Amino acid sequence: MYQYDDFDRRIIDQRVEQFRGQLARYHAGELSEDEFRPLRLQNGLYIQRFAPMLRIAVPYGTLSSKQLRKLGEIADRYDKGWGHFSTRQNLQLNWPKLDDVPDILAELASVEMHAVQTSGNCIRNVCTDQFAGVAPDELEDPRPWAEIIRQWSTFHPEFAWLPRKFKIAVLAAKHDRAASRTHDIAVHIVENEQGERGFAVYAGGGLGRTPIIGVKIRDFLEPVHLLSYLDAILRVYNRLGRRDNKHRARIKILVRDTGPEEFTRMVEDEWARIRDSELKLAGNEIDRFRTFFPRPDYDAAAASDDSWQQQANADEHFATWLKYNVVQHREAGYRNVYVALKLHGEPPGDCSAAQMQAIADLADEYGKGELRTTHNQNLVLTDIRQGDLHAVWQKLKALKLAAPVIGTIHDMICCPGLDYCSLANAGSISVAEDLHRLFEDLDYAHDLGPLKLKMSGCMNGCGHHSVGEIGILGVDKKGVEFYQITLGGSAEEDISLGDRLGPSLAQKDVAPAIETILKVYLAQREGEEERFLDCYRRVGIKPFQEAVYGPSERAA
Amino acid sequence: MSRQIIRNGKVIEDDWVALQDDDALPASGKVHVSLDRWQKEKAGIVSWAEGCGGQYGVRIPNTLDVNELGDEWLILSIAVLEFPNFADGRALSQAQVLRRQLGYTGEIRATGDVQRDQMYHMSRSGINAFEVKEGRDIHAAIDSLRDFSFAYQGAADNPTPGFRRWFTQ
Repeated sequence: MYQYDDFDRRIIDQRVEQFRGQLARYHAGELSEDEFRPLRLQNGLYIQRFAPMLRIAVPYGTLSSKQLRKLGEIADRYDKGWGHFSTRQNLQLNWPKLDDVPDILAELASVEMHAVQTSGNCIRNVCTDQFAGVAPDELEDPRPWAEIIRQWSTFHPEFAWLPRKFKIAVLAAKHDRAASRTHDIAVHIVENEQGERGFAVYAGGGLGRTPIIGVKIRDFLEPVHLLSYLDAILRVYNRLGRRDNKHRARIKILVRDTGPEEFTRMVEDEWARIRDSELKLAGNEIDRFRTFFPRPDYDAAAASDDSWQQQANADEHFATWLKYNVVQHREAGYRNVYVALKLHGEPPGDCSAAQMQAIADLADEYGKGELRTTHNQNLVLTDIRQGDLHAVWQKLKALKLAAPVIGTIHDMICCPGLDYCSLANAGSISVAEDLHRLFEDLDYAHDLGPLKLKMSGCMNGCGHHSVGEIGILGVDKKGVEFYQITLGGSAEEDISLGDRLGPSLAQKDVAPAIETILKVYLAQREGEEERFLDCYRRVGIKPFQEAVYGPSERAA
Repeated sequence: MSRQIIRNGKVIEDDWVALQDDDALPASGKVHVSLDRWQKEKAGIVSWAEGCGGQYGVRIPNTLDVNELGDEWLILSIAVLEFPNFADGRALSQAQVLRRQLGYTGEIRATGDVQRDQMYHMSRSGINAFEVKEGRDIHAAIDSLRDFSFAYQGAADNPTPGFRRWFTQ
C-alpha cells in the first residue's frame, strides 16, 4: 500500500497542528460555532446526539494490520471500545471527547492515517472495490489511480469550499462492488476497441433525498488526462453548483438541471483549456504510483493444498461459511475472506477494539498484513491460502465474526440511525434487530438467496436504501417513527433505484411486511436460481403491494 | 480613510480606493470599480488613467466566468474577488483561472468574509491580497499562509504537483 515519505508525514502533522489551533481559537471564542463547524467537519468531526463522532478516513478501503491495531487502540483509549465501519469504507468513533480529538489525530498520523475531508463540502474519501488488486475480474489494480486522486484532492485549494460534499469512486472490475454510480464521479477503468486502457467517466450520481444514477459523460479518457479531466468537472461544479439550497447543491442536480449533454460540453470546454498543463501525468509517474501496490509474493504450492476440501466435507458449518464468506482470488490457491460484521449481536458494521486487534493478528498470521473495508460494512482478509481457511474460520468463529451471511438478508447495510446520529428520524438499528430475529433460521435466509437489504434512518441515505433490493427509510411523521419500503434497487452494474411500495409503516409492521414480501418472492420465483432482484424485475411491484397493503391500496 | 490589508504576506495600508458607481474619478491614484461600471465606462477609465498615471481594476462578482473579460485582464491592475461568506468557494476557481489560464499578473484581492482559516487555500489559488474581516487579528492571520509547507497538487502558487518531486529531487 501507499507509504508516506517525509512530505506526506509533514502535511498530515501540519494538519493536526492546524486543527489544534482552530480548536483552541474556538474555545477562546475567536471562532463562532458557525465558523468552527465546517473546519471540524473537514477534519471528520461531527457533533452528534450524545457525543462527537469522529470519522476516520480509510483511503480506498485498504488498511494495514498495523493501522487496524492502532484503530483498536484508539477505540479502546478514547472511545468506549467500539468502532463502526461505514458505507464510505471509513471508521467512525461515536464517543470521543472533543478535546481529545487533536491527540487522536496525532495518534492516527503515527500510522499514516487521518480524518481529513471525511466530511464537509469538499472531496471526500475515494472509494473502490474491496477486492482491488486481488479480484479475478479486474483489468488492473485500481488503487494506484485512487491514490493519485487522493493526493490531488487532499487540501485541493480550489475545491475546499464546494457547494456540497463530493464523492469519487474508481472501479476496474466487471462487477461493480463499489456502488460506483451512486458517486458524484465514477471512474471506470476500461479497454477500448484497440485494446488500450483508459477511463469511462460518469458524473452526477448521488443518493440522499434525490437519488440519481450517474450518467456517462465520456466513453474513453486517456489515463494521462485523469487529473485535468477531474479538475474540469470540479471547476464547472464549483462555479455553477447551486449554493442557495443545500438539498439542491450536489452535482447530481446540476447535471440533471443542465442536462447531461450541456454539462458534458461545459466540462469538455474547460478540459480543452487545461488538458496539456502540468496536470498531465507522465508514464513514469503513473508507474511510480503502481510501485506502492506491488503484487505480493504468492506461493505456487498453495494451490496443491486441498485439505480444506476434506475439512469442508467433514464439517457442514465450515462448508457453509466457505460458500457465503469466502471469495475467489486472482491467484490460484488463495482466497479472500469476509470478516462478517453482521449478526454478531451488534449493529451492522460495529467492531470492538478487541476484535480489531484480533483481526489484525489474523491478517499478519495468515494474510499479507493487509485488510479491506467494504461499503457493505464488513471487513475482508485478503490473500489467505486455501489451506489456511479452516484455521481462519475457527479463529473468526471464536471472535463471533464468522456468521455465514454475506450477500444474504442478514448482510444488511444500516446507518447508525437514532442511536447516534443527530440527523436520523428513526432507530434503524432496532429495525435491523427485528429483522435479524425474524430470520434467525439461517436456512431460511440462505434459501432466500442473494438479497441486499439497505436501511437508512433518514433521507440523507447513508444506509443506501434507495439502491437496496429491499430499501427501508426511516421517516418522521409528527414525531412518530415510520418506515418507507422500496423494492428493486441495485447499486451494482445493473444499477437501479428502488420503487416505492406504498404508504410508510409503523416500526412494528416493518418486519412482518418484509416477511410478506419475501413470501411473495418465494411463491413467484422461477426456481431457486432466480434472485429476488431478477424476480422483482420480472413480476413487477404489484404482487408485493397487494400482499402488503391488500388489493384496494395497490395504487397508493 | 484607508484600512490595513495583507498584501504579499505583509500588513500594509490599503492604497486602493473602492470607487462606488456614483463616485467621481479622483484626480489620480488607484481605483477599483464594479463590473457594471467598468463595462459602461471602460474607455473613460482608461483615458483617465492615461491622463493621470492612475491604476484601475474591477470588482468581480463570484458568478462571473472570468474568461468573459478575455484580453481586458492585460490592462487591469487589480481583480477584487468576493467571498460573501467564508464557505463560498466560487472565487477560488476565478482566481485559479485568472492566474493559470489567463496569465493575469496583477493583484488579486479577496474581500468579504475573509478569515484566516480560508486564507491558505485562497493564497494557493492565486489571491495575493486580503481584506481580512473587521474585528479579526490581521497580524495573526498572516501565520495561516504558512499552515502547510508542502502541497500535493499544483495550484496557482506552484503548478507542479507534489508527486513530481519523485523525479526532480
